[in-house]
Amino acid sequence: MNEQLLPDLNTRAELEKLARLIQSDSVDVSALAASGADNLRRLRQSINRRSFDEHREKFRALEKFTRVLPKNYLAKLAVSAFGPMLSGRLVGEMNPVRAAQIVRRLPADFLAKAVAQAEPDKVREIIALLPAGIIRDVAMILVGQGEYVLMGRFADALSAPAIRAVVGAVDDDSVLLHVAFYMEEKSQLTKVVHMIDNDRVARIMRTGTEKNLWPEALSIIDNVSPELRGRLANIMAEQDESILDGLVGVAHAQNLWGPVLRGMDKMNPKYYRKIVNLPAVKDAAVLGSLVNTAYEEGLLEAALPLAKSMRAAGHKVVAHATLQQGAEVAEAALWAAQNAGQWSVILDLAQHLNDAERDLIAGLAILRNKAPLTDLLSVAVAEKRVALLLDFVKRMSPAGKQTVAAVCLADEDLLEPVLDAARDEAAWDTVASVFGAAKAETLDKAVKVYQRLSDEDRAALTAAAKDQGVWDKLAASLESTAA
Amino acid sequence: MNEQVTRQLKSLLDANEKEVGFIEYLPGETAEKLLQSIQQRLDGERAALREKIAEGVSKLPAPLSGVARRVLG
Repeated sequence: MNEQLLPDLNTRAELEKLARLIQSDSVDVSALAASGADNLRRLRQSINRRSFDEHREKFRALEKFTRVLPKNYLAKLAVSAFGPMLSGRLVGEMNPVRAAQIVRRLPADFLAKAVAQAEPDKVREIIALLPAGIIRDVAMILVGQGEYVLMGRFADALSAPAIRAVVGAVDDDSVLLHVAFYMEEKSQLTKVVHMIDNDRVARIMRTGTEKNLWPEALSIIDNVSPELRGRLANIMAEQDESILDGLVGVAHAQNLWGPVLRGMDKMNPKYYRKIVNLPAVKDAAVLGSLVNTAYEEGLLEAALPLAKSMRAAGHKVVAHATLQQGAEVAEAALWAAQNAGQWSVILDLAQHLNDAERDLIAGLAILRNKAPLTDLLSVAVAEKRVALLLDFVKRMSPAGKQTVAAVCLADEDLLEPVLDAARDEAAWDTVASVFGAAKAETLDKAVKVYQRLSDEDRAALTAAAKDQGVWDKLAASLESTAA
Repeated sequence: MNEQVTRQLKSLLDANEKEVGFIEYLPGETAEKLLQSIQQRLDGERAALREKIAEGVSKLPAPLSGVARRVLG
């Protein structure tokens, strides 16, 4: 598979399950990746259903006939005559309670073969009724055969004692990571993980980081409840920086930023600084793909607080990498800042942008919208970074400046810092162009502001307004106000 | 695009649009090979079952083998 086009983790697991089911070399299942996990799963389930439905009547009839046979005798016949394939089919047609009673009488090596031949949904009902010892013995045989896909098919159907028995018997944590990766009902992973003691869970997650099983470990994190996701992500974040640096490389090469960002979103923020300042995170291509994934998967709101924890050099790389993704991504990033209350991060990044990038930002539609502009200006005022913002306002279209005028002239607490910044930065030309763009109904407020300026400021603003070609408009309003 | 393959797959698997409809959007060659592989998978299983049924029935004690042959035949 082309690494650049690797599908999401659940789709990868489904592709492997389908490849195993159809056992064909002629079809390259990776060509099915774009179909997504849900479609592949439904296809696999319909192949399975067809496979069992086609012969169901025969095995139902056989099951009716075997009802008269004692359980011990039937168990003996299973081994001596029917064999694993027919027994797997037969047991699936039985009442689960009777099936479990017969299964208990069968040897583990026979069950390990029969379970692969039985209808998955029926087996799930039966194994929930089996003693933990039998499950453990069969599981250990399947582990020895590397049958992780098969184990994943039933893992979430096990009782708590059975899960504990299997986990206790399997010393190799990578096996458990593989089984979890192929688990049929990933929505049950939270329940399964809660059945395992905390120390072992931590060991399993650490194994994922140490044995280059990041996709398997991330698949667990991505499929558990938000609370557990945070706990598991914290365990991974506690690893050495060199190990975490490896994660960045894998996430970039294998398109795993979605699970990483979702994990980090629930992680204790105290780990942010450690992770976002890893050496590999300084690479522009890495950050570009991270930003792009965050955009594609609606995770920009989760990504912004991470950028806040970066050092200045990192801000610079993120800022350029984001803008390189184009105006659509930049617009989405600003809306994410608005929705998540993260304008401060945007200001951190904005200071590193070049002229062309600042022009692009200044032209975005979000900055012609009063609510986000008001919030942005409020943060800039609170953080004393209005001068930076004025540089973007200077680049705005008349429509953008009109919104700036409406926002500033409606709130003295925002207007005064803007005038202070204009004075400090000799940016009266920007203020003049904003006043010049104001709508008629807000222009009288601009005139009042003009009138209360000091003589020196008024002279500077007058000169700037003349220079900007908006003096006639302001002068007309001044005259009408005076009249 | 792959309407015919999708129709064949629906019929082969007795499946509905939701289960196999996405096949229509696959590259033509991929869809055809997938159909062939599934067909072969089901054929192979049919043959394996026939063999195992014959083998299993022959190993059953005489009174049972007749009944089993009749219901599985």
